[in-house]
Amino acid sequence: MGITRRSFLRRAAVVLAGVAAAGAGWSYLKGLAQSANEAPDQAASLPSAPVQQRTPQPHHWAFVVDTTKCIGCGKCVAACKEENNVPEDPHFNRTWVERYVIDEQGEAYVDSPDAGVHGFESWPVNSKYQNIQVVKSFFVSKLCNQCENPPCVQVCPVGATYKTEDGVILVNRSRCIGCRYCIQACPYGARFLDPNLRVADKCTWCYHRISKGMDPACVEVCPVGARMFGDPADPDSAVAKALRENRISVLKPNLGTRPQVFYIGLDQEVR
Amino acid sequence: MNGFIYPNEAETAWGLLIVLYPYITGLVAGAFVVSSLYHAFGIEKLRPLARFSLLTALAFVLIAPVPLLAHLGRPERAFEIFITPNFRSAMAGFGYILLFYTGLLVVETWLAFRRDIVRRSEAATGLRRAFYSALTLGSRDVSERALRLDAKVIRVLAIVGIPSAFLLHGYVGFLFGSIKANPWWSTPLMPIIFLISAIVSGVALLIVLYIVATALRRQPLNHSSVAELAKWLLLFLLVDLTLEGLEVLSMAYENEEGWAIVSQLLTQKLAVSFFGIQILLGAILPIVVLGGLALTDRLGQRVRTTLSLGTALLVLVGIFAMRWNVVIGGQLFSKSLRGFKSFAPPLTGNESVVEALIILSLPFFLLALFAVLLPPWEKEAALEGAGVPEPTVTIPIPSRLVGPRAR
Amino acid sequence: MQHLTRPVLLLLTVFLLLGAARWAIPRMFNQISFAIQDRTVPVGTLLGAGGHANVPQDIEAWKARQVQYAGPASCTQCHQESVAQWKVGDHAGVSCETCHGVASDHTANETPLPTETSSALCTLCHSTTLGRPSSFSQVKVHQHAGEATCASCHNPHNPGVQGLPTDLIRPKPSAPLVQHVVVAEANCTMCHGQGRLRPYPQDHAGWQSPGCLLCHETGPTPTLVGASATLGAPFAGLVQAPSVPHVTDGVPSCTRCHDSGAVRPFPQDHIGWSAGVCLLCHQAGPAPAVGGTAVGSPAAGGGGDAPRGVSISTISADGLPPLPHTVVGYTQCQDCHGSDQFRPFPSDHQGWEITECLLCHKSK
Repeated sequence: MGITRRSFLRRAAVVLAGVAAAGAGWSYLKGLAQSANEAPDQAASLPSAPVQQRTPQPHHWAFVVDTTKCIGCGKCVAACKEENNVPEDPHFNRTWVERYVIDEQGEAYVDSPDAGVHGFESWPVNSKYQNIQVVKSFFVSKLCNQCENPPCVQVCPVGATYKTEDGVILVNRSRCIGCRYCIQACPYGARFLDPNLRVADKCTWCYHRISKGMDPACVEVCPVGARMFGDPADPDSAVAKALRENRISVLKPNLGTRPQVFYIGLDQEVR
Repeated sequence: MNGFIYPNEAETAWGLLIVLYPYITGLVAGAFVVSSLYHAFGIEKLRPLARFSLLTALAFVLIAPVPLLAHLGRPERAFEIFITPNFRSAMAGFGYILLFYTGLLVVETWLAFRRDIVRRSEAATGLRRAFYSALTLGSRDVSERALRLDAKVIRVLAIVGIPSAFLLHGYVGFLFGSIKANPWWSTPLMPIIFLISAIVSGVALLIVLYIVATALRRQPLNHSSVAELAKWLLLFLLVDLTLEGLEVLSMAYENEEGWAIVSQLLTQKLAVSFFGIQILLGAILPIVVLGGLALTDRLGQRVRTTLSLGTALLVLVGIFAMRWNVVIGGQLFSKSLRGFKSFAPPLTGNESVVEALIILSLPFFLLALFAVLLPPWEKEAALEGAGVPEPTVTIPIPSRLVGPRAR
Repeated sequence: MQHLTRPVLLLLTVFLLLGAARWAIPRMFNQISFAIQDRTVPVGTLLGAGGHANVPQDIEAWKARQVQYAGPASCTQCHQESVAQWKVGDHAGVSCETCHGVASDHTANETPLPTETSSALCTLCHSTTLGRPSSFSQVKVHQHAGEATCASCHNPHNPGVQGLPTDLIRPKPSAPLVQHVVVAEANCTMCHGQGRLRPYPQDHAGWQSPGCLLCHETGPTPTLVGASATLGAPFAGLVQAPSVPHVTDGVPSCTRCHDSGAVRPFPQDHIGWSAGVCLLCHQAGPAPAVGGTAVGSPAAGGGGDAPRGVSISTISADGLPPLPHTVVGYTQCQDCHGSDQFRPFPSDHQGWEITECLLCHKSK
């Protein structure tokens, strides 16, 4: 009797466990099977996954910012909002311009009034530096770094953000649940929650433009050529030339994100 | 705002609801550990609380996803996290752990209360009878043999549940600890700090709930149970304080790039809520009081219980401050490490104080409902079933641990 | 013991039903949607009808978005005149839509594209602002133009001085006159500026010629003169520049020999100057005895006692090896002499012509 009871118990336990696993896992197993059959989107960011069919261009894009040229006109910020329907509210930006002012003591003051969308020329914006012995001052424009190793893609619980073969991080707006984990994970403050769509948004390097052979809007309107875009593999491109002829740095290299936005003349104070 | 913050950082991405969420899951994990101390490890002094703590854990775990859901930008897509998960995301795995854990709690609770369900279905009439009959799931055998089998399954679940509870809350810590962009979050100690603080908060919650519930029922209080809980609370508090101290100490000593801003965060922005509430009121003072109680036996039972109640309340506030200091504190400074912003939750509306209070009160209402539907106190359950012979062995397994087998 | 079989079977059934629902509901209800606040929610999404995100589809959706900035190429088709001005001016590197704004609607449907004419558009870039590179043209707007708008003087398509109408050159009475003729080849800042031969005031730092002429009226002949050669050495009286000790006729370029690192280097502060400006200050010697025309005015005061009318070889032959053979019958020195020939010559002679060899090396 005891033996049968024990064997029943064992059987019951097996059945219970089996039922629990099968039941609880049913729907997501289905999901897994789908992911294996349908789109290799989970694997999109893994280098080993061959995803040739959705890579019409064999490009790997890069962006160069020449901080020695930027004049802080803010045309790039305004153009980005225009081109990509980014909310006008200065708290939501796919790109922005920062100004660094360094005084005699080496203290750095940083500002970005309205994300730089109206430039930096207006009087109140400059008056705060009147009593400061300025040693040097310069502008740095910022945008999504389209990291090779993107923390935002890593943390997205539903895989709504992904990296394309040509190296651009995009957000699937029909899938994002708006948990904002990616916003926390981005070390560069490049992401925000779109207040209208309630999904994460970020710079796409104007994916609709670059895939038509055009420059991103910010590059298009920059009057001084401080922003460059292209494929470094093409030796005649502006970015290839800039990367060849200059000492280059990236933002926060210590985090291992491997940004694809490269900076010329980056000061140590820029973070 | 002072200094410089990235323009997109003006909005605080995670507000009061995300403070509430680790707070509630922490209480779940802690309450479950108390129930398992009896069910799995046979701590007899906690037997009066075992069923009640199980119901508490169930009530809180059912509410745990609510603040998350309310926070989502697109709550109608919440199920995507189960259906199309990205397994490289800490958050995706967390959904399954919570789901698994909820299932485990439901099964364990059903087994623990099965006899009472059967009894009530037999005693009641009409709708009530139909309700309890449905709850039996067609299993009406409450013979000694069947109950013994139930107890064994309960024990297995209680044991399996402990690592699950640890996983549940360690994982919440990992959500924060794995964010390398944030120097205040990014530490491998974070999961274990969350875990220990979860147990601390759960034990403290049960001290409070047990004393309040007993007073409401006008029943005599089992002081030795409270004393036992207070002992466990002291132990976990000591570990918790050690870990939290170690975290800040190692950050300060390593003095990396981020420490400049974190040290300002602690001494300026979080001075009151970190040093004042979390450390002093929420940990050091309770440790002094509970330590004193542990060292002396001079004070009377009522005084000891009252002091334990007071410290438990302090600890509950302190752990809430700890969740605030992590979740909100980590967003008060810019990831440019150059400036601070302020955060105050709105009083009403989305992510507001009122919304948070409503959500925080939900598990208590749910617990009250459970206590009406299922008898959480063993003695009353026994009285209720006066007509039915009391089985000689209710929970046989713990006795095997603590002494010779009862059979 | 059988008391648990029923609950277990029940659970199993529930899970199977859930699985079936997971499969069926999205297929049944994806077309039905309801509205929450301002957005539409397909019923199916509540049970994950979105399914696994179809990444290729999403990429196509991103690609398909409407382009707003049309690019300068689309402007040239109609606005040839403006484009022609723009192409040669200082704004050639600035895209049309940087100032004119988004043009895709205009290019596609010929909807009007109003032109922003206020000075605010210009000052966004050109007002003196903390942070701008000092080499970038910036003005303290009020000092520079008073109440006048930028466009009242500057042509936005060609905003530099070249593009200014000549009647806009309004000398300021307080600004000293230019004491010499102005020569097209010479940039004012070659001689005038900090660390230059003729410094100007501190507050002029960074200013570029020919903007100088906006305030400084030119001297007796206030014309821009094209060819310095016809002028003699107009600045020879202004600077203590030694006369050229040899004939200059037939010499292809001063900087062949006179440059930093060349055989006869010139002073540090001459670095970067082109050969065309040397004779503005340095008086050339008269023509050699054989042929050629005299250049320069004998009347102009030239310093130094260096002999005039001598060939380069006369003054540089000292210490130079005379050619060991006659040049008669040879076509090119470079046939034998050169870095890769059997008779190499010094590396600083690289690229010199046969006529240049004989300027210094005397034929036997």
